[in-house]
Amino acid sequence: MKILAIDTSADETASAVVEGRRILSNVLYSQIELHRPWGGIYPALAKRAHEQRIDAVVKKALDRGVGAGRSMTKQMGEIGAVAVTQGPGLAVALEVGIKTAKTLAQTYAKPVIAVNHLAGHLYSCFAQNRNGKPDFPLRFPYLGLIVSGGHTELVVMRDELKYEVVGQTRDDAAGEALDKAAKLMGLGYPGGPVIERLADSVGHQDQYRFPRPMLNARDLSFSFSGLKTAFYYFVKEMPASEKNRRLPHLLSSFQEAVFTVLIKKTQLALRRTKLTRLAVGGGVIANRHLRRYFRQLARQEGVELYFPYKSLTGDNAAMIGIAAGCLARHSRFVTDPAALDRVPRLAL
Amino acid sequence: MIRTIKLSDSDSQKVIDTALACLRRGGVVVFPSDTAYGLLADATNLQAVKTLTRFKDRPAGKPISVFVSDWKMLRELVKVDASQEATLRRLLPGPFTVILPSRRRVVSAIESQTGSLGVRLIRFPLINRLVKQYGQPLTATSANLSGSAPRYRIDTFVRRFPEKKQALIGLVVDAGPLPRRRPSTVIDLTGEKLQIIRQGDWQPASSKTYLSRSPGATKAIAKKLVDPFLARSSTGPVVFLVSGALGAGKTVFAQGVGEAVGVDNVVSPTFTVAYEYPVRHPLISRLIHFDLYHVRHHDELEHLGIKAALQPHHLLVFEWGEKGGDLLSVFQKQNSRLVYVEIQYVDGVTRKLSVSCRL
Repeated sequence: MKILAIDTSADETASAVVEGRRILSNVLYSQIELHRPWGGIYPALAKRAHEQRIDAVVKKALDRGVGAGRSMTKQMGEIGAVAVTQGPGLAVALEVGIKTAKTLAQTYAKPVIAVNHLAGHLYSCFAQNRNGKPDFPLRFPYLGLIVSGGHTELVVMRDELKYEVVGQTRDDAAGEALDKAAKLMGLGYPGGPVIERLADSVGHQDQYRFPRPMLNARDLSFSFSGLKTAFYYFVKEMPASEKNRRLPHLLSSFQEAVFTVLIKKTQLALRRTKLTRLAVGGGVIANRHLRRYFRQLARQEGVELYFPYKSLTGDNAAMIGIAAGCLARHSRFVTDPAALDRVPRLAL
Repeated sequence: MIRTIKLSDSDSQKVIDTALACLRRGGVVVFPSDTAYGLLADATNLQAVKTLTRFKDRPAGKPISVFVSDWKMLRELVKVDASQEATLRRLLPGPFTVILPSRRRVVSAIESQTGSLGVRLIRFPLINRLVKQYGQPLTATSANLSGSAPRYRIDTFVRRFPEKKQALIGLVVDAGPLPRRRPSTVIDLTGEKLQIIRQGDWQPASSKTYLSRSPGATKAIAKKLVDPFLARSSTGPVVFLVSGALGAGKTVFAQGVGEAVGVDNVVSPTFTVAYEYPVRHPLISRLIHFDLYHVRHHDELEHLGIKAALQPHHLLVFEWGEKGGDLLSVFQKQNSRLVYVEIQYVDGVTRKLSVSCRL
């Protein structure tokens, strides 16, 4: 069954057509360019932009996914269900996607599947191209880690429907911490890629040894606000010229602190749960250095490791479609689509 | 043609240098401040002050307050006794103008006829740096003509003046539109009793200060603060405006507010701007946690669903509350109970929480 998926949880307007784990189309209308001047997600613009772009993005996803040059009715005829992100995310942004999904479902008499954005990030690791490659089978259970601007969560995926969050951040997400460190140093949004470049340039050295929050705690919780404070304090009194001179090393050390915590906590979770397959999704895993660390960890712990394609690390609708496919196999459709509402703090 | 430079983070020192040069020549500089655009001139330079009063059409005898860079400069300009000192420590730096007996170090035209002087020690890094580097107090009057409204954007403002007036302005520093905040609260400390001369957005009367030495303590303070307000939520929302530097503990405070009503999974809403939590509590039905970190333009505040969130039995927490300057009137219209919380770093672990609420 082909699924048309929509995601408007934050600053991406996204739509995709998937069949099983195969991605037939994946369209993003990235708003990064629009946001950059203000240094972050710009909420009202995001809502307006979602509203302005969603129809065109959906149309493009259908054109690429089921063939262009045909009427919308014909295209929707090939679609079995409409999937949409219900949360977590920004309420006013989520609303746009949900409204669009409801309208499409009603107009073309399709069932609706409500998807948790976080499940999407986990399923991004299992995506296949149009030809069904790579063709490894899904073999539950997995340990999942979502590491993005808005989330840092360790999840045990028992099967297609059963998730258990075993660790999450108590305050800031890992990606948010990186963004804020970049901003403290006067760099633009998004901060992650800039930090990656600067850290690369100094060989990922860790000259400053910033604190590794929660590393010695016995649970699987994360906390990055203390690290942010330590960093703030460290650079606060520094003259601008010195800050600039030390910029790559400061940010490299900051990145090392964040990554060390991610790796160590994941290692602890693997040992505790005794799971042998690890899936890491979310925007921060676009970082090549972090991928290296996870590969090392997987070798060391003797586990299988799954990453999304780089193009699927950030928010996208293809991952929502893949997660929706699992729900559809278990007939988990929304019983009353008209009553479907966004849940901004939806948990897994 | 007035010389105008645009402010951007990267070249703030260049902006300051340009402003310094203009001030040294006795020029008048239009400059962003914590309230509106201000007219800055050397308060110790008679010619500079004359140019300023000519521009403002300021009637003689109407005093003008001054920005100081720190406590040291403040004490050089005004006399402070022990009880006044205690009051000042509670208020400054902050959005106040404090009137104290002048030491006659500034041009007498800006002092009051009784020999007092209004001083402003504010929390606005750009002004603080400028005054510090200049080394003398600068006038702190808003960039408007006497009797007309303060200016929150400068581009249209400047061009409106006749050339003769324009010629009196040496430099305009354009920081774009500023959040609309009311002028500072003016407090006269020269008499027996503290007297509020002009009511701004802030009121010192009910302010309290707490010291916290751990995130746990900050949460406990938040919980304690929330309780008495909950009972009042039946007539309008309870709104906490929490400001403070990055990492000061704003989210921790919000977590404490959440715990007070049984919500224990509050996390930073920076990435999504806002998170809503359903609440099971006899008095509160919903907690909405906003982070205005990414919001720069007041137009955009209208589209965040804030107005809809301002309902009785709702509890709201805003991080970077001061950016919500424009929201204050919205809050008032919805009969909100406002609580201001400012969190400051004292050292690595200690935070000072200054809490005030309008009576």
